Amino acid sequence: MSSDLTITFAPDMPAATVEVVAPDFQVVGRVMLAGGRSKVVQVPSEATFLRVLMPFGETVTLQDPGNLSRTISKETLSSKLTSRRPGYAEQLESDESSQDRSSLFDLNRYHALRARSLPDIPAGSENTLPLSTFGHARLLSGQTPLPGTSVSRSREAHWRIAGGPLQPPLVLRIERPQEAACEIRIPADADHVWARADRLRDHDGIAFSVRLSTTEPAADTILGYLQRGDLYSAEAMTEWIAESEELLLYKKADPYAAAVGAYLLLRLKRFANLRDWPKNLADRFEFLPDGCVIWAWQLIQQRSADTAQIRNYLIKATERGLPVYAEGLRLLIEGLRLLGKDTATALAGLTDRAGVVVWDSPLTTTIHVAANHAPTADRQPIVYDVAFSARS
Amino acid sequence: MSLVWPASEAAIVTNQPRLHALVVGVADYPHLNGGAGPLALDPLGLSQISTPRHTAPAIAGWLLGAYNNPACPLGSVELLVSPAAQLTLPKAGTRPVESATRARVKASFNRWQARCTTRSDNIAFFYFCGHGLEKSAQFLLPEDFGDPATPNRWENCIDFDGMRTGMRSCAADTQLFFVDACRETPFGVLAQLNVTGDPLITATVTDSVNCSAAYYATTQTRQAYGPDNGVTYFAQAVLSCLNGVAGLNKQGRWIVDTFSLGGAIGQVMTQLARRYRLPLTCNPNVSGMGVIHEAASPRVFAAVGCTSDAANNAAEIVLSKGPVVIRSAPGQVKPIVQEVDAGNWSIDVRFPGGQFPAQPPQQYMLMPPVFEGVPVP
Repeated sequence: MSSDLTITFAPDMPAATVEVVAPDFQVVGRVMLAGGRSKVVQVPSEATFLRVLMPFGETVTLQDPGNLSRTISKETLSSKLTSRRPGYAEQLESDESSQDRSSLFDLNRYHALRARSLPDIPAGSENTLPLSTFGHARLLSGQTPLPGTSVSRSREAHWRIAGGPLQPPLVLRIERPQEAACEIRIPADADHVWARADRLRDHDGIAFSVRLSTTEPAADTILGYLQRGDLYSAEAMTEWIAESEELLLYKKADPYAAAVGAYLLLRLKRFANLRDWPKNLADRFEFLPDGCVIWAWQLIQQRSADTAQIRNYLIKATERGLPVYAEGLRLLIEGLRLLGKDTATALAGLTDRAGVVVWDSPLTTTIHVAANHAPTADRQPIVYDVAFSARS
Repeated sequence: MSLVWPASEAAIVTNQPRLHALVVGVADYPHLNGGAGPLALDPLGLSQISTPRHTAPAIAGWLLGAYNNPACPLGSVELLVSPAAQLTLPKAGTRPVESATRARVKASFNRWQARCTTRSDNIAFFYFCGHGLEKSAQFLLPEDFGDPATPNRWENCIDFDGMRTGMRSCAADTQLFFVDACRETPFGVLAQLNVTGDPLITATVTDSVNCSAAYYATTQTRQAYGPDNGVTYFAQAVLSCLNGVAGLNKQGRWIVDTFSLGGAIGQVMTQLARRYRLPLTCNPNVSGMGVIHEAASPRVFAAVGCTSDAANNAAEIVLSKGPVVIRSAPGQVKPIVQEVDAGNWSIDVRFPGGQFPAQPPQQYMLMPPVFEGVPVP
């Protein structure tokens, strides 16, 4: 006999996908919830349980047989998250935050915690911030470095950003003396960006990790799911896109979050949901290459015969610079390849400008060397670990 | 011949939907460091690797012995392994397998693509295991990469991203690509190279594919690539996921599809990284949904440990489900990371030395793909 199960997210919860699972493990519903929101799902049994797919990758299973009205809060989850181990929070206030993390796994857990306790940025802070002894970082708006602050005994650099989403993308530049430099495109709707360097104790190598949050946490959650390949969870977020795309484009004017929604719809081939938003994104926000890429790909996927328009928008994208999102760079390169000789010059220019691309980053992350770089000097394995932070 | 199953080209079914596979494993690079041939003018810091000679046969073996998709059964398997070897495979028996030179990869690719394109309901399955270079595109290195007798140093190099794009011209509407590449070349060296490669196939803007899923291993050191003389960590994750860790219950059938596989491989790699303390990640790029396989039963990648190193060192952890008992004594490596049956498990965490308070055994529901616990000390 089926029943109605009401699932509510307490106001302190981040946007996340919840799977509603029958006792035989069949997923009977997959819904997106955000703080203060509820959903009703018809379930086959009162023994149905929930799985909350947290934006930072951990999954929490909640069993409460017989309860058909379940409220999920941070407190509900905290006792079940292995990343919330007792005493872990104190690390941020202790010397431990200035120690090298032992592995990428440990580093990710550290950043999930750091996202809950971000430092204030005092006025008059530095423009160039050290990343331990391994390099330094600058966050650039055009050519102008933005002030930030250094914490964890100069191992971490933090920036708060207040420019708003109608600004061109920022660039986070991580430089290492005599060695390759890394550039990460940062969406201008970011409100906090931080970078950190660690010598990973468990395996030879240095990790430069970057985390950021934006003013649209649901978009951050989508990018987190996409980065991990969790398309089912990302798919559940299409409801947010349907509700907010128009708002993001026209009222709040956040082309970055709008682009994230459009990339997901493109991936899922939901062209009916996309409508003409990508064209508006391309035409209205000239500082953003991604809109042109999305619109050109909507035309390609819908088998438009208007090859000239596809070509024009792809070329226009290359003229605006590298896309902010790695998905955009991948699609731009693929689109130019498909157009063949007609766009060969633009493709060559783009790949030359991109240099080495760190493809597992959700943001376009490229590595460049100076002309006088001596390649033999750069033999230590380097990991660039870029992700959206979890607001958990 | 690189066709390991069926026995002949004439025996390949092309008038029904089928999965056609091309599996390439390159462990022997004569022109890279430690190779038997003349050394490349610039070997890019690359040397011999052992894991592909085990990984490619493991993938081909899974296809021949375990792949199950009633709507699209196995149609053919092309396998190239360097060094060439005599291999024993399910269905195929013992037979010689040719090495993966560029010419052979190209010839095999052409045959594979021709089979795949015979029907839109075919599945194209491509797995590469060996050295790779990644710039703005992913390049794969066949056995004869770096041959100093070849004036164009990039002639023996395959442009994988170009190939994936070119496969849009292939009629098979579900296309699966696994790039299990060891990418050792430092960023600083890569940035100065103008890498090019042969995409093997081209497409135009009017070509399309319903489902194209690429799963990339993203390890950057040989240590993180795989255990010496074993299967790569990425392939271990792929095989676990195909065997049921990525299974979704759809009307009682445990279906692995392109979406579930992408999410599960990433989670399994995270737990393997935790277990082996290595920088293991996966970068899935999935566009479109396609059913891959029907697993026999649901499996779970369980990672069970305490939440602090001190507690892990002191703990005895016992997982049990019916007659199955998995135990890790104090001082043994934790977390326990193991593929197990899905279902209700009892997890008992004890501290024989009394360092932490005793925990009563707890029942946990282990559901695919991954269980990570437990939230005690």
